[in-house]
Amino acid sequence: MNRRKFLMALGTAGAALAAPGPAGTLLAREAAAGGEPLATLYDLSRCVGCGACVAACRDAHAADYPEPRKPFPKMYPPRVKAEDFSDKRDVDDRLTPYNWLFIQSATVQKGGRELTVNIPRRCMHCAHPPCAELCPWGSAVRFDDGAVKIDADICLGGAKCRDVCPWRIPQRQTGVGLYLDLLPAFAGNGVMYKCDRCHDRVAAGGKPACLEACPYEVQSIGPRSEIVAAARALAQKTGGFVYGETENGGTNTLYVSPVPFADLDAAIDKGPGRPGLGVTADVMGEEANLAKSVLLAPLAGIAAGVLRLVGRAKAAPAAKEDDHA
Amino acid sequence: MPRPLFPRWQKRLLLASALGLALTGMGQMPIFSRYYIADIPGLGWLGNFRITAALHLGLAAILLVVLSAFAATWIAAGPARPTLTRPGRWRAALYAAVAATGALRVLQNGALPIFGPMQVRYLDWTHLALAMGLLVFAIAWGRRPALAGAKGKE
Repeated sequence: MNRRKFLMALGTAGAALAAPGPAGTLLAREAAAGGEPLATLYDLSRCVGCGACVAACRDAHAADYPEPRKPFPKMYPPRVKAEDFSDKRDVDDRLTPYNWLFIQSATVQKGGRELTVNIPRRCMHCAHPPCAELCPWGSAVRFDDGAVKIDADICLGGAKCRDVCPWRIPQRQTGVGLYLDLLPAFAGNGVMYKCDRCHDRVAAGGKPACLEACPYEVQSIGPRSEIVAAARALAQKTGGFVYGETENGGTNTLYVSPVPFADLDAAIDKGPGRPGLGVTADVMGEEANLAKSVLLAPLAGIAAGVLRLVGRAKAAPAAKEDDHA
Repeated sequence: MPRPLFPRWQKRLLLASALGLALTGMGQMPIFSRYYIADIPGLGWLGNFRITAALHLGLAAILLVVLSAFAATWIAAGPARPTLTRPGRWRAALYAAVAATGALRVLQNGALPIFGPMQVRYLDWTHLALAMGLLVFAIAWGRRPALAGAKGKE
């Protein structure tokens, strides 16, 4: 038995004995009925990095993972590279098409002592997700319950969602999906995969698999306003810090950490499939004013058109008088 | 000489914004980077989705102002309004449909999501198909006059 399995077993036994805490007790179905998006809160001081959530995620989504056709079709131009994790399905130290949740660990200083913080990482499920709002093909969607999902049936794998995501969360698998039936050599490159916060389970009244499996009740779910209030209260009580309330205009995943997120960001390994915890721009917020101008433009145009006619009408009699002069 | 119902500068502005929208609209798909176009000096911005998306919205606002001004002028002109030719009717319908589906997508992202999450794709595909239709129309019949009695492109 390795360390991770030992911790999982220990955690499961501990959870069975422990009295139910506040985490995970808010019913998703009730919140969804209220019309408010659901959000989740990670209390990072509770996470021991046992990996139970990662294992549960893999079990819950085993049927959703890609089974690519090989050899991959040759793609043009040569700069287009295949992204293939099908022979690395066991990788669990980063996000991949086969691993939608992983645990980052950061060792930082707090009060002169070393502290290790474990951070479960997956899609943040933004309130205004650039991946969904900028997908030109409509394959990334945001549901009313706040979950953001990529439809593997129609995704072409262009990876725009990853490019516009402040955390570069979605991961591509080549050799699978609709592009194979269209122009596999010239457009598309597979399918993008990421956490959908177990949308189907939650829609059926359940909870995300990772939340349910956590033996330490690290994560809770509920209406976003309540989760934000709970995050602030927890941060105030513990002297902690909140991440996700305002990042990228606000996300439906909030973290409370005992140390500043800038310290965690500096301490974690970052790179492909390993998102940071830094300050992010509000991608869709930057475009909000332009979007308003698009919606107001017809009114301006109608006014301009009417003014033009009025101007012509005023000019017409003068022209007539000139004719008779 | 009476002032023209549709001033030439407005028609040129419409054409310029439509061409810009076609370029930035194509830029919403990851093709400019793939096919080296964004590598051409001065065209690197075509590979930046945030820039092309912002430009697409800005140009859409200009297009909507001009289209709405044309529509308001034409409708309010009453019996004196010029008759649209067949290509003119097609052009007006295609522009209106592209603009309407684009405006609906903007509403969907912000103030008024009308379509369900799994229906947004049909809006996107319709917008794309209409834009392609307008492009084909412009290539095939774009130089035919839109107004009866007009000598040139109107």
